[in-house]
Order: sequence, then structure tokens, then C-alpha cells
Amino acid sequence: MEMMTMVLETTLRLLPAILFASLGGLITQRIKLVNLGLEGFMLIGAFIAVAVSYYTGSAMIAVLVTVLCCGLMGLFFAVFNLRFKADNIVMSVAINMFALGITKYFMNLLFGVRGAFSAPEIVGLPKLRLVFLDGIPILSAFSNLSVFVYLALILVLVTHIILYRTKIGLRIRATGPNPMAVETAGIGVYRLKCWVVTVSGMLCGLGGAYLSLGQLTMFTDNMTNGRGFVAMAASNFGNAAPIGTFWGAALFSFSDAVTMRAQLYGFPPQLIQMLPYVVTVLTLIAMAIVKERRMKRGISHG
Amino acid sequence: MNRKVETAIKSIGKPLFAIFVSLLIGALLIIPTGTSPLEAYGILFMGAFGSWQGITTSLAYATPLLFTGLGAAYAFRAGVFNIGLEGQMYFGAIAAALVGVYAKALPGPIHILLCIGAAMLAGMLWSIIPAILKIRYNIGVFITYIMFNNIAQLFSDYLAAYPFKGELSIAATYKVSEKVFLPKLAGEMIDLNFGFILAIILAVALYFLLFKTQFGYESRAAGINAGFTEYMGVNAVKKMLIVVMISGGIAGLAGAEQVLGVTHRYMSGFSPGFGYTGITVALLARTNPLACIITAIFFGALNNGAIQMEIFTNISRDLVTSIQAIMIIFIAADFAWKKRKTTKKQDEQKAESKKEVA
Repeated sequence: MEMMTMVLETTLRLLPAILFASLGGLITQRIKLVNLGLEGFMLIGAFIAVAVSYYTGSAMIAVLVTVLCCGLMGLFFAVFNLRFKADNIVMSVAINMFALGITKYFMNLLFGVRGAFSAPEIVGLPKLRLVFLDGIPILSAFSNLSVFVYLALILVLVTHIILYRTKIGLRIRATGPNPMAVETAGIGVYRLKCWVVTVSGMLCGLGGAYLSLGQLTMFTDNMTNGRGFVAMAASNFGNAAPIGTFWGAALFSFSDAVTMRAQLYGFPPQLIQMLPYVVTVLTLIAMAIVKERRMKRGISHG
Repeated sequence: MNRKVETAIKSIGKPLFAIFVSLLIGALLIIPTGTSPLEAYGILFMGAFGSWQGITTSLAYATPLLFTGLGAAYAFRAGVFNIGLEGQMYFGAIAAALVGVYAKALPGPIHILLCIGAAMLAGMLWSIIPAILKIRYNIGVFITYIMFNNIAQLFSDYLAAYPFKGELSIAATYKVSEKVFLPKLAGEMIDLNFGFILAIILAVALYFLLFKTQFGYESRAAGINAGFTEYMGVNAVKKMLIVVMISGGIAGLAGAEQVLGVTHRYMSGFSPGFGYTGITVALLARTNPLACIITAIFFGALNNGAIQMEIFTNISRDLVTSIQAIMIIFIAADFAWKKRKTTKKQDEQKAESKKEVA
């Protein structure tokens, strides 16, 4: 029982980084502008958050600045992709590469260190302490979590409501499969897409800020370590629907959590670290098979 | 002839513009360090080309980039975005190292060929799985290739850290047999080896394959006809698999070159991202194999010079990674001022693109 509680707690602690980014991936998938620069946005976000928190001593300001900067990068991505016709996959490769280089460069420039930067001046994100849950099996996993865990869960619901219950959501959903119809209805598809990618950047910023100020209070080289791509896989897993994506992110966080615990038992670390990537690929295959079966059944019944 | 020159200038113009802009942005990034950008770039340039040692070291840095660049260029030409080169290279490296260490009884020439063959095969196998997943289940190759890169690197490290661990304390195999060392070209101290010549030969061969043969024409046609994968017939499937295998095999060669020519054993973390930089090499060369020779040397020099710059100034070498990324963005972008040019030029461009297809 204690083991389960521990794994659940670790899963919850790992969840927000992937979940924020996967919501960012989900909305861009909806408008058929696949943003695989999630990884890079997150990494830059993680760095900005640490740097601003270090200089201002405020996690709040750090998060705001991060979200703003990552939003701007999203806008940049959208403009270059839509206006200047830069292929979005090539752009994604470039942004991820840029993020890797520029964070290392500024870490060296601002703090004079390589590899990792941590300092007592960095203020982390606040935690929500629920004393009454202490000692209760399973539920005690919730007793000392970052507020961002709850924010991420709330954002899943908010995204769901916006997508399915509002006019803007309807437009976003229609833009992917049928941009012409949306354009005919008198809505600027270009501007809508720009907004969506900007918001996707902001969400990645939240994910990055959580990674460096919530999960840890430090920045390390390439600390996202593929989480952006895993987030995209989570969005694929959920068919670009918020609730499904949440389950995808939860599954991947869970496999991460198991990995972290298994490391304590002396398995070769390389094999253990491989596990989340293997799980991601296997999940994608499983999803594809399920989808195919469903389609076949649909055809045979129809 | 005149027209050919004009086309050449035009196709060179854009990469030059991208290089210029990215170096300019790089200069802006240098200013806060307190060193003058001109001085920094001067040191970088002199480090890369200022001496015989500098030049040969730059070429040594260029060698793995030329291999991965060619692998990328060929795949991109044929419409497959193989960004799994890093992982394919890792498996190539570990395969070459294992054959090099454990097949010592073989005579020298056969042994070296077997090392290279094993590396290519490993690269091919690792490149073909995501392609099959794409064809069979329509799973986008981007995510699978990235996942495969991580898996390949970790698994190779595991092999070198546990079952095939050598005498060093880090994750590394034993030294390969001296029979399979690639001969050095510029003295023992400099990493430049026969692999560089192999890479140049490969670039020329790929150019001929792409532009002078029926097979190459079909590869390029498949690349131009974007979205073809959705309606792939048996023939197209076969072709995609062949393209991916060739590309992955070349990436495997990059790993073999590093093991047989430079480190002489598989060493954890031997690559600072050769596979990813290879993508930049290919894009800056506009996926032309011959142009890859120039861009690979350019990036090799940039990386070599950056290390000198880091030693003599307070500027971290990571600046160069960012500059490369900015270069890709400006190569990929098509700025509007081009479209506002006179219609005459547009007609020319149309004629050009027609020529390219024909």
C-alpha cells in the first residue's frame, strides 16, 4: 500500500510538466499546425523561470515572464510557419536545437556555470499542504503537492469546456478539417491560428516553469529530456481531446514514476531510462491498432 | 551557361543570407559578454582556418557531419524526414566497435569491411522500423525517430556499460583491434582520418545516384510529390523503405568513422549531436550532396573555431549551436519580399521549378 502511495505521489509530481505541454500540443493538432517545438519551448521556459526567480525572488513574476516569453515564441513560430511558409517540422527541429544551445549559453553567461545551475536565491513554486490527508493510505499522496498540479488538472477541464462549449472552441475545431468554411464565415483563420499557437507556447512555458521551479528548484542542461515529444504522443493518445490527452499524460507520467522507483533497486540505469521511450512507442502502436480495429468494425457494421 | 550561373547564384544567395543573418544575431548575443563580436569571430575563424593544425582539425570535425548530412540530404530529397540519424549513428558505432573488438581472428581487410558493414546494417535496421510503423499504422515518423534516438543511445550505453564493458571506468568497450583503425591523414595527434575521403567519395556517388540515374530521378519525384505516402502503392512503399535504409546505412557509417578512426572504441556520449547537426548540414546545402561537402566543412570549422573561441574569450561554444538553429529557420523561411518582385522574375522561377521537375 505504501508503495502504491509513493508511486501515485511521484506520478502526480511528474504529471504537470507533460500535461501542460500536451494541452499545448493538443490545440495545435486541432488546427493542423503540428507544433513539435514543444520540447524547445519548454526548455527555454524552464530556463527563463529559474533565471527570473533568481533575480526577482518571486516565483509569481517568474511564471508570468515565462508564459509571456513562451507565448511570443509561439507567435514567432506561427508567423514563420504561416506567413513565411517555413516547414513546421523543420522549424521544430530548429527551435529545439536553438533551445538547447541558447539555454546553455545563457547559463554560462549569466551564472558562469555549465551543466546545472542551482542557488538558494531561486524561489520555487508554492505547495498546497493538506495536513488532514497525512497518514491516510493512497490519499496521502495528495497531501503535499505543488499548486501547479491542481492548476494543470483545472486547465484540462477549462480546455475541454472551451473546445466543446464555446464559440471560439467551435471555430478552433472547425479550422483543422475545414479552414475554408471558417474563412467563409468571416473569421480570420490566420489570426485564429496565430492565437492558438501563441497559447500553445504559453502552456509549454507553464510546463517548463513547473519543471524547473515546481518539480525541482534548479536548471540543468536539456532538463526536458524528450518530455515535449512525450507530450505530443500523449495528445496523439487522446486523439487531441483534453480528457483523453489527460489519460495519455497520466500513463506516461506513471511509467516515468515506476522508472524512478525501479532505479532504486539496482537495475542498470540505462535500461530503466529507456523505459518511458519504449512505452511511448508501444502506446502509439497499440493506439493505432485499436483505431484500425474500430474502423474495420465500423465498416463491417455499416 | 549564363542561365546556369544565374541559377547557381540564386540558390547560393539564400544560404548566404541565412548565414549572414544568423551570424549577425550571434554577434548581438556576444555583446553582453563584453568581448567585441568582431574579435570573437576573428578568433573563431583563425582557430578554424588559421593554421594547418586548425584546418585539419576542422576537417576532422566535418567528417561525421558530412556522413550524417548526406544521410539526411538523401532522405529529404526523397521526401522522408529522417531525423533518426543520431540513433542510427549510435547503433552503427556500437556495432562497429563490437565487431572490431570481438572478431579479432579475421584477416585485416575482411575485418575492417565487416566492421563497416555491421555499422551500416545496424543503422539500416534502426531506420527501417519507424518507416514500417508509418506505412503499416500511419504513425508519424517524427516522434518515433526521436524516441528511437533516445532508445539507441541508452541501449548502446547499456551494452558498453554492462555486457561488453572494457577496461575503462566509464561506459566504453575495449579498444578495437589495431587492424581496423582507419589510417590517419594528418599525423597521430589530429583526428582527421581516411573516413573523410570516404565521405567525399560517398557525396560524389550520391550526387550521381540522385541526378544521373533513373533510380535517383524516381527518388526525387517521390520527394516533390508531397503527401504521396497517403496513397502509397506497393512500389512506393518499397521505395520509401529503400530510401530510409540507404539514409540509415549512411548514418551508421558516421558511427563507424568515429569508432574506427577517432575514439577506437565505443564511448558513451561520443557524439555532441552529429545526427542533429547533419540535418542542418543537409538543409543549408539545400539537400544537394555536393554542396553538403561545403556545408559540412563550414560547420566543422564553426565547431572547431568555437572551441578556440571558448578557450581565448569568455564566450561559451554553445553559441554556435544557437547560430546553427537560427540558420535553419532562415533557410526554411520564404520571405515575402521575394514574391513582390516583378512578374518577369516570377516567370523565371516557374520555369526553373519546371526544369527541376523535368
